[in-house]
Amino acid sequence: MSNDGKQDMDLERFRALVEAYGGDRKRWPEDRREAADRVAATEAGRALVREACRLDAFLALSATSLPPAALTGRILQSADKRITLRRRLQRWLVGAGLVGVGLAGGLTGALAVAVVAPPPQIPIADTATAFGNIMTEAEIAQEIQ
Amino acid sequence: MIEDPDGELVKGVAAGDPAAMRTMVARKLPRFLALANRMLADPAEAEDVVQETFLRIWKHAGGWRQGRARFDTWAHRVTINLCYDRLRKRRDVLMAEPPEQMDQAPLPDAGLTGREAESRRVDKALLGLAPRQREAIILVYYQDMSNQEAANVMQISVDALESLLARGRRALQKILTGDDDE
Repeated sequence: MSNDGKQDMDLERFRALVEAYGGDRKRWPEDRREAADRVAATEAGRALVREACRLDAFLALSATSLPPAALTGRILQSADKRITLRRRLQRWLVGAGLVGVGLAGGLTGALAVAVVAPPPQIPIADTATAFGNIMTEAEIAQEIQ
Repeated sequence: MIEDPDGELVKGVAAGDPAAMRTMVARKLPRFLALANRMLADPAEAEDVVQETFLRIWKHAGGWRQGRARFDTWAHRVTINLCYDRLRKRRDVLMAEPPEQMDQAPLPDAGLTGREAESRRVDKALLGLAPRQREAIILVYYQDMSNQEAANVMQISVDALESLLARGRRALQKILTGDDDE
């Protein structure tokens, strides 16, 4: 029903179109409007359009009224609440962010200290060997004296 | 990528821009209210539905991504789903508490004359349609959507939309003829 493209439209397809979209050509799908116009110009087409327009006229009687001011007010109030909530959340996030940055800085500092600083002193002197402590020349001389 | 005429506005809403929010209300409220009124034929319920729709817009605007469905399509779907929730509740209440006797109170359209009475008559006829037929007719005839836009809102093919439209119009014709016979 919907894939007529720009091809010609027979009366049955036109009937189907008008039964769905009514007699007002502005509601006819754009891709079929041109072909539909040609059928609508025939006597049989005009009769179908006339018939459909009766129901269109009935549907057009349904009126809408403007939204009540109170409703508009309530919705705008909900928008204000949302904005307030958003701002509060942003402030909270900024605060939490600063704390987070502080914590992250502390942790990073601690890590840097651990990596860069020299390791704790080894209790055994650099001169120690598996056979005991090797004394330096100066220490030996001092001991001899 | 789908060009969305509301794209910039939604971005403003997502950023919490008060002017964008006011523009959104001015642009969309009449449209969503008309939709809910025709789906429900109950002004108070329609107002509740529209209020809830805007709450969801405020909440979800931040997650909105251009290039997927249009904002208007999404917001229509939200409004319609909320209307269906209401219609379901009405049906549940009716099933749970069948009226013991006919309500003798005057009908809402009693005493109305002229255009308002005619308008109520159309709304009543629309309410007599199957919900999906009513939805299709409202989107195409009153929300001025193209066939593709309406099909997108209803998440169906254009062929299926046209079938619903044609069946809806036939049903309306019957209701009308029935009215005329009275």
